[in-house]
Amino acid sequence: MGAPNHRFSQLPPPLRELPLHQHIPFSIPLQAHKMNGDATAQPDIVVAIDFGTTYTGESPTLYPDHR
Amino acid sequence: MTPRTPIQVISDWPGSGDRGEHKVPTTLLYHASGMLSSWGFLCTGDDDGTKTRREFFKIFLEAGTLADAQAQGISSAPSSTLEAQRFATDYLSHVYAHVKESIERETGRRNLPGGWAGLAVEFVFSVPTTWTSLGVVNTFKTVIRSAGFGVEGPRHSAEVDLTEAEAAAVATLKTSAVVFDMGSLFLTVDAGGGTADLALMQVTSADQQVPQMKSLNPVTGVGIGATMIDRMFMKMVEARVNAYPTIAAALPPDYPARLARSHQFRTFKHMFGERAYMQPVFRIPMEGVAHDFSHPGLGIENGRMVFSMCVPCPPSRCRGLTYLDG
Repeated sequence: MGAPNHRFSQLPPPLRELPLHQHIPFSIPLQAHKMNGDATAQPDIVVAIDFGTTYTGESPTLYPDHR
Repeated sequence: MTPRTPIQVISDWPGSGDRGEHKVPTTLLYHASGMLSSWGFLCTGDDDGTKTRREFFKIFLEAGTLADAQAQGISSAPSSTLEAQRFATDYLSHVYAHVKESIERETGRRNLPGGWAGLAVEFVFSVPTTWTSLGVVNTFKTVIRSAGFGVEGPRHSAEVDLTEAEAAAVATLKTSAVVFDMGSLFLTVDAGGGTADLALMQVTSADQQVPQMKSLNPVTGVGIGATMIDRMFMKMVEARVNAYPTIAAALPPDYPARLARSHQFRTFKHMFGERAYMQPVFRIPMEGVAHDFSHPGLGIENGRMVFSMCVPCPPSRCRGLTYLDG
């Protein structure tokens, strides 16, 4: 298994502290197969939740400054 | 170890009938007492006008976004980030209960003592690309655990992992029909409901089993999403209805929002661009309006509001495109 390839230093500073995996952990739709090479560490079930934005109603302009 | 099985997408959400919906609306209805009445698809038909609808609450976990919404006078915005946490916890508690029930049923553990508590279950969440504060990510972690994720069994865990833009990039790398070679560059654009997330990535390992990549610049998200289509549609309906006060008085005050939530409008929106759905006019049934009611001024024909697909732009705004209008 190769070295991690995410360039954490290029992420916004707070996100560097997130527990990002060494290996790409997700497939989609959204994220489901763990790609860890150690089969004994595999969970029985991986549940990926895409908690997104399905909304209809009074809608604000939420990110006007693209922050 | 359980053999690896294809990804199963939950599509039997309570209240969705037999439509096989992969997504459940982020919606809650509360009684005036503050007690939760219904969630997701179950809110349809439960809204008798006395209950408070809550939507879009995830983004209000971030104080800055909530402050922006409150400054704009958005009445449905929570009063505080703590209230947003309560809404998110209530919603995710029901998501958890349904996910648990579905998986226990599918794995034959529904009626076994402990259900799936003895299994190793890992829950993974992505976070909005626009969340750049560790504080809001930690708040979200508290919410998902309070909702039940990662706490029911000794080998249950819940993680907050990649940003949504990164997750979309991984999906592209893993599932695209395009073959990526070492060094290939690709830009993913995840045009979602609330934001559009961008990620510029370079493939650093083309191994089919464990492909790897690196980001070439910080992932970014902008506040442009499909909800803006809903908003413009509602404005259009509102303008039509308000032109005829007697009709407006006969309709519920949230009728534009109800029409935007209708199955027919959502189908037109989701399928727009597909040849079979590109009709000169779209007819959207109006709930509660008689089937033989027509009103040329409002653009209602036989109980359905009619919208033309497009009209030419005003010259002052023309960029060679057209825009949706009544």
